[in-house]
Amino acid sequence: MNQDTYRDQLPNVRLQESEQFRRTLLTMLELIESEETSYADRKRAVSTIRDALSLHESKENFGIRLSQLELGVATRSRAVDYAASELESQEEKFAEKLKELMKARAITQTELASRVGCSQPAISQMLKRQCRPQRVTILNLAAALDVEPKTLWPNLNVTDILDTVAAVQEDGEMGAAESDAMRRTLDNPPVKAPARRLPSRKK
Amino acid sequence: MRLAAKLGHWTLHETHALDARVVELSDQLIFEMLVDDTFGFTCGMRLAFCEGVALPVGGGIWLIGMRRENETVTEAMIEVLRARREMVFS
Repeated sequence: MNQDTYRDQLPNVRLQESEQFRRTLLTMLELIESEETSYADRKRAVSTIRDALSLHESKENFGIRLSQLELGVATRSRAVDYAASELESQEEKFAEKLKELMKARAITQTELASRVGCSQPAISQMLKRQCRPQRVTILNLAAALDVEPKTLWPNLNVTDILDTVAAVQEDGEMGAAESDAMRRTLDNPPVKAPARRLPSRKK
Repeated sequence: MRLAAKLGHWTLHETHALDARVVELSDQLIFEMLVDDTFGFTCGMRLAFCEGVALPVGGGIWLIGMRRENETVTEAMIEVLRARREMVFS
Protein backbone atom coordinates (compact mmCIF):
# COMPACT_ATOMS: atom_id res chain seq x y z
CA MET A 1 0.00 0.00 0.00
CA ASN A 2 1.52 3.35 -0.95
CA GLN A 3 1.20 6.69 0.76
CA ASP A 4 -1.51 7.92 -1.61
CA THR A 5 -3.70 5.01 -0.66
CA TYR A 6 -3.28 5.91 2.99
CA ARG A 7 -4.23 9.49 2.25
CA ASP A 8 -7.29 8.34 0.30
CA GLN A 9 -8.48 6.34 3.25
CA LEU A 10 -7.93 8.96 5.89
CA PRO A 11 -11.02 11.12 5.16
CA ASN A 12 -13.18 8.05 5.51
CA VAL A 13 -11.58 6.69 8.58
CA ARG A 14 -14.22 5.82 11.08
CA LEU A 15 -11.81 4.32 13.53
CA GLN A 16 -13.42 5.00 16.86
CA GLU A 17 -14.77 8.12 15.13
CA SER A 18 -12.16 10.01 17.05
CA GLU A 19 -10.72 13.27 15.84
CA GLN A 20 -7.70 12.66 18.00
CA PHE A 21 -7.23 9.33 16.30
CA ARG A 22 -7.38 10.95 12.91
CA ARG A 23 -4.84 13.54 14.01
CA THR A 24 -2.57 10.76 15.11
CA LEU A 25 -2.74 9.21 11.67
CA LEU A 26 -1.99 12.52 10.03
CA THR A 27 1.02 12.93 12.30
CA MET A 28 2.26 9.54 11.13
CA LEU A 29 1.72 10.56 7.54
CA GLU A 30 3.73 13.71 8.07
CA LEU A 31 6.54 11.64 9.49
CA ILE A 32 6.48 9.39 6.45
CA GLU A 33 6.57 12.33 4.09
CA SER A 34 9.27 14.22 5.93
CA GLU A 35 12.72 14.00 4.40
CA GLU A 36 14.24 14.20 7.87
CA THR A 37 12.63 10.94 8.97
CA SER A 38 14.99 8.00 8.93
CA TYR A 39 14.20 4.85 6.99
CA ALA A 40 13.60 2.88 10.18
CA ASP A 41 11.27 5.50 11.65
CA ARG A 42 9.42 5.76 8.36
CA LYS A 43 8.82 2.03 8.47
CA ARG A 44 7.54 2.38 12.01
CA ALA A 45 5.15 5.12 10.97
CA VAL A 46 3.88 3.09 8.01
CA SER A 47 3.37 0.12 10.26
CA THR A 48 1.44 2.28 12.71
CA ILE A 49 -0.87 3.55 9.99
CA ARG A 50 -1.39 0.03 8.72
CA ASP A 51 -2.37 -1.08 12.19
CA ALA A 52 -4.64 1.92 12.64
CA LEU A 53 -6.49 1.12 9.46
CA SER A 54 -7.11 -2.34 10.83
CA LEU A 55 -5.21 -3.98 8.08
CA HIS A 56 -3.77 -6.39 10.53
CA GLU A 57 -5.75 -9.50 11.29
CA SER A 58 -6.81 -8.31 14.70
CA LYS A 59 -5.91 -5.92 17.46
CA GLU A 60 -4.16 -8.85 19.12
CA ASN A 61 -1.45 -8.34 16.55
CA PHE A 62 -1.16 -4.67 17.23
CA GLY A 63 2.12 -4.73 19.07
CA ILE A 64 5.30 -6.39 18.02
CA ARG A 65 5.08 -10.00 18.99
CA LEU A 66 8.57 -11.21 19.47
CA SER A 67 7.67 -14.86 19.40
CA GLN A 68 6.13 -14.38 15.99
CA LEU A 69 9.05 -12.28 14.92
CA GLU A 70 11.46 -15.09 15.69
CA LEU A 71 9.17 -17.71 14.21
CA GLY A 72 8.66 -15.64 11.08
CA VAL A 73 12.37 -15.47 10.46
CA ALA A 74 12.79 -19.12 11.30
CA THR A 75 10.38 -20.16 8.60
CA ARG A 76 12.58 -18.41 6.09
CA SER A 77 15.83 -19.91 7.23
CA ARG A 78 16.63 -23.45 8.17
CA ALA A 79 19.70 -22.21 9.99
CA VAL A 80 17.66 -19.93 12.24
CA ASP A 81 15.05 -22.62 12.63
CA TYR A 82 17.76 -24.94 13.85
CA ALA A 83 19.12 -22.30 16.21
CA ALA A 84 15.67 -21.60 17.66
CA SER A 85 15.10 -25.26 18.43
CA GLU A 86 18.60 -25.49 19.83
CA LEU A 87 17.79 -22.57 22.11
CA GLU A 88 14.76 -24.43 23.46
CA SER A 89 16.86 -27.48 24.14
CA GLN A 90 19.57 -25.43 25.83
CA GLU A 91 17.06 -23.68 28.04
CA GLU A 92 15.65 -26.98 29.22
CA LYS A 93 19.14 -28.23 30.09
CA PHE A 94 19.90 -24.94 31.80
CA ALA A 95 16.88 -25.21 34.10
CA GLU A 96 17.76 -28.78 35.01
CA LYS A 97 21.42 -27.95 35.63
CA LEU A 98 20.59 -24.90 37.69
CA LYS A 99 18.26 -26.90 39.88
CA GLU A 100 20.86 -29.63 40.26
CA LEU A 101 23.63 -27.20 41.23
CA MET A 102 21.45 -25.35 43.70
CA LYS A 103 20.53 -28.60 45.36
CA ALA A 104 24.14 -29.80 45.44
CA ARG A 105 25.27 -26.55 47.02
CA ALA A 106 22.23 -26.20 49.24
CA ILE A 107 21.61 -22.69 48.01
CA THR A 108 18.17 -21.19 48.28
CA GLN A 109 16.59 -19.16 45.52
CA THR A 110 16.77 -16.06 47.68
CA GLU A 111 20.46 -16.56 48.42
CA LEU A 112 21.30 -17.19 44.80
CA ALA A 113 19.29 -14.17 43.71
CA SER A 114 21.24 -12.07 46.18
CA ARG A 115 24.55 -13.32 44.80
CA VAL A 116 23.50 -12.80 41.20
CA GLY A 117 21.86 -9.44 41.74
CA CYS A 118 18.38 -10.28 40.59
CA SER A 119 15.09 -10.99 42.29
CA GLN A 120 14.07 -14.32 43.81
CA PRO A 121 11.10 -14.56 41.44
CA ALA A 122 13.58 -14.32 38.58
CA ILE A 123 15.36 -17.45 39.82
CA SER A 124 12.05 -19.17 40.39
CA GLN A 125 10.87 -18.34 36.88
CA MET A 126 14.13 -19.53 35.36
CA LEU A 127 13.77 -22.87 37.11
CA LYS A 128 10.25 -23.15 35.74
CA ARG A 129 11.45 -22.05 32.29
CA GLN A 130 9.22 -19.04 32.42
CA CYS A 131 12.14 -16.63 32.20
CA ARG A 132 14.88 -17.12 29.65
CA PRO A 133 17.99 -15.68 31.29
CA GLN A 134 20.01 -13.00 29.66
CA ARG A 135 23.54 -13.95 28.74
CA VAL A 136 24.93 -11.73 31.48
CA THR A 137 22.65 -13.45 34.00
CA ILE A 138 24.08 -16.83 32.99
CA LEU A 139 27.58 -15.50 33.53
CA ASN A 140 26.59 -14.16 36.96
CA LEU A 141 24.89 -17.41 37.88
CA ALA A 142 27.95 -19.37 36.85
CA ALA A 143 30.17 -17.16 38.99
CA ALA A 144 27.81 -17.47 41.93
CA LEU A 145 27.73 -21.25 41.62
CA ASP A 146 31.45 -21.47 40.87
CA VAL A 147 31.08 -23.28 37.57
CA GLU A 148 31.98 -22.51 33.99
CA PRO A 149 29.20 -20.65 32.14
CA LYS A 150 29.02 -23.48 29.64
CA THR A 151 28.19 -25.85 32.46
CA LEU A 152 24.93 -23.99 32.79
CA TRP A 153 24.38 -23.23 29.12
CA PRO A 154 26.55 -25.54 27.01
CA ASN A 155 26.13 -23.78 23.72
CA LEU A 156 26.52 -20.08 24.24
CA ASN A 157 27.63 -19.98 20.61
CA VAL A 158 24.02 -20.14 19.57
CA THR A 159 24.01 -16.39 19.98
CA ASP A 160 26.32 -16.11 17.00
CA ILE A 161 23.71 -17.75 14.86
CA LEU A 162 20.81 -15.75 16.11
CA ASP A 163 22.64 -12.45 15.96
CA THR A 164 21.52 -12.13 12.41
CA VAL A 165 17.85 -12.47 13.27
CA ALA A 166 17.56 -8.79 14.00
CA ALA A 167 19.32 -7.86 10.80
CA VAL A 168 17.21 -10.24 8.76
CA GLN A 169 14.07 -8.88 10.34
CA GLU A 170 15.21 -5.36 9.63
CA ASP A 171 15.22 -5.72 5.88
CA GLY A 172 13.25 -8.92 5.40
CA GLU A 173 16.11 -10.43 3.46
CA MET A 174 18.88 -12.76 4.33
CA GLY A 175 21.91 -11.40 2.59
CA ALA A 176 24.91 -13.40 1.54
CA ALA A 177 26.98 -12.06 4.43
CA GLU A 178 24.34 -13.04 6.98
CA SER A 179 23.91 -16.42 5.40
CA ASP A 180 27.67 -16.98 5.39
CA ALA A 181 27.93 -15.92 9.03
CA MET A 182 25.31 -18.46 10.03
CA ARG A 183 26.91 -21.18 7.98
CA ARG A 184 30.32 -20.49 9.51
CA THR A 185 28.85 -20.76 12.98
CA LEU A 186 27.05 -23.97 12.15
CA ASP A 187 30.24 -25.39 10.71
CA ASN A 188 32.01 -24.83 14.01
CA PRO A 189 30.42 -27.06 16.61
CA PRO A 190 30.35 -25.67 20.12
CA VAL A 191 33.11 -26.61 22.50
CA LYS A 192 31.72 -28.94 25.11
CA ALA A 193 33.31 -27.95 28.38
CA PRO A 194 33.24 -30.79 30.91
CA ALA A 195 31.55 -29.98 34.16
CA ARG A 196 33.91 -29.69 37.07
CA ARG A 197 33.23 -31.60 40.21
CA LEU A 198 33.11 -29.12 43.04
CA PRO A 199 32.77 -29.75 46.75
CA SER A 200 29.30 -29.44 48.15
CA ARG A 201 28.63 -26.40 50.23
CA LYS A 202 28.72 -27.12 53.94
CA LYS A 203 25.48 -26.55 55.72
CA MET B 1 11.31 -15.86 22.53
CA ARG B 2 10.00 -15.27 25.98
CA LEU B 3 11.49 -11.89 26.71
CA ALA B 4 8.17 -10.13 26.73
CA ALA B 5 6.83 -12.56 29.32
CA LYS B 6 9.19 -11.01 31.83
CA LEU B 7 7.05 -7.90 31.75
CA GLY B 8 4.29 -9.90 33.37
CA HIS B 9 6.34 -9.61 36.55
CA TRP B 10 6.71 -5.86 36.36
CA THR B 11 4.62 -3.21 38.04
CA LEU B 12 4.74 0.53 37.80
CA HIS B 13 7.73 2.16 39.55
CA GLU B 14 9.69 -1.09 39.60
CA THR B 15 13.14 -0.88 38.06
CA HIS B 16 13.35 -4.49 36.94
CA ALA B 17 11.22 -7.10 35.22
CA LEU B 18 12.85 -10.23 36.59
CA ASP B 19 16.45 -9.93 35.37
CA ALA B 20 15.81 -7.15 32.86
CA ARG B 21 16.08 -3.46 33.71
CA VAL B 22 13.14 -1.17 33.00
CA VAL B 23 13.37 2.57 32.41
CA GLU B 24 10.84 5.22 31.54
CA LEU B 25 11.33 6.71 28.12
CA SER B 26 11.38 10.49 28.02
CA ASP B 27 8.75 10.89 30.70
CA GLN B 28 6.06 9.76 28.28
CA LEU B 29 4.51 6.99 30.39
CA ILE B 30 6.18 4.77 27.87
CA PHE B 31 8.72 2.36 29.25
CA GLU B 32 11.53 0.29 27.86
CA MET B 33 12.76 -3.08 28.99
CA LEU B 34 16.48 -3.35 28.41
CA VAL B 35 17.66 -6.65 27.08
CA ASP B 36 21.38 -6.16 27.34
CA ASP B 37 22.78 -9.13 25.55
CA THR B 38 20.33 -11.93 25.29
CA PHE B 39 20.44 -14.66 22.75
CA GLY B 40 20.00 -13.50 19.23
CA PHE B 41 20.52 -9.83 19.92
CA THR B 42 24.00 -9.45 21.34
CA CYS B 43 24.04 -5.76 20.48
CA GLY B 44 21.21 -5.45 22.97
CA MET B 45 17.71 -4.28 22.35
CA ARG B 46 14.94 -2.41 24.03
CA LEU B 47 11.29 -3.29 24.12
CA ALA B 48 8.99 -0.31 24.39
CA PHE B 49 5.77 -0.85 26.24
CA CYS B 50 3.06 1.04 28.02
CA GLU B 51 1.13 0.13 31.06
CA GLY B 52 -2.62 0.30 31.28
CA VAL B 53 -2.86 1.19 34.93
CA ALA B 54 -1.15 4.50 34.31
CA LEU B 55 -3.87 5.45 31.86
CA PRO B 56 -7.61 5.80 32.35
CA VAL B 57 -8.33 2.35 31.03
CA GLY B 58 -8.12 -1.21 32.23
CA GLY B 59 -4.80 -2.68 33.20
CA GLY B 60 -2.41 -4.62 31.09
CA ILE B 61 0.94 -4.16 29.49
CA TRP B 62 1.19 -3.53 25.79
CA LEU B 63 4.27 -3.94 23.69
CA ILE B 64 4.32 -1.06 21.28
CA GLY B 65 7.78 -1.07 19.81
CA MET B 66 11.27 -2.37 19.69
CA ARG B 67 14.61 -0.86 18.88
CA ARG B 68 18.19 -1.95 18.93
CA GLU B 69 20.38 -0.75 21.74
CA ASN B 70 22.63 1.08 19.30
CA GLU B 71 19.70 2.86 17.66
CA THR B 72 19.30 6.44 18.81
CA VAL B 73 15.97 7.63 20.12
CA THR B 74 14.55 10.18 17.72
CA GLU B 75 11.65 12.58 17.93
CA ALA B 76 9.96 10.58 15.20
CA MET B 77 10.36 7.41 17.21
CA ILE B 78 8.77 9.06 20.24
CA GLU B 79 5.92 10.30 18.05
CA VAL B 80 5.31 6.80 16.73
CA LEU B 81 5.36 5.28 20.21
CA ARG B 82 3.03 7.96 21.49
CA ALA B 83 0.70 7.31 18.57
CA ARG B 84 0.72 3.59 19.17
CA ARG B 85 0.00 4.12 22.85
CA GLU B 86 -2.93 6.34 21.96
CA MET B 87 -4.21 3.71 19.56
CA VAL B 88 -3.94 0.96 22.13
CA PHE B 89 -6.01 2.90 24.61
CA SER B 90 -8.40 4.61 22.25
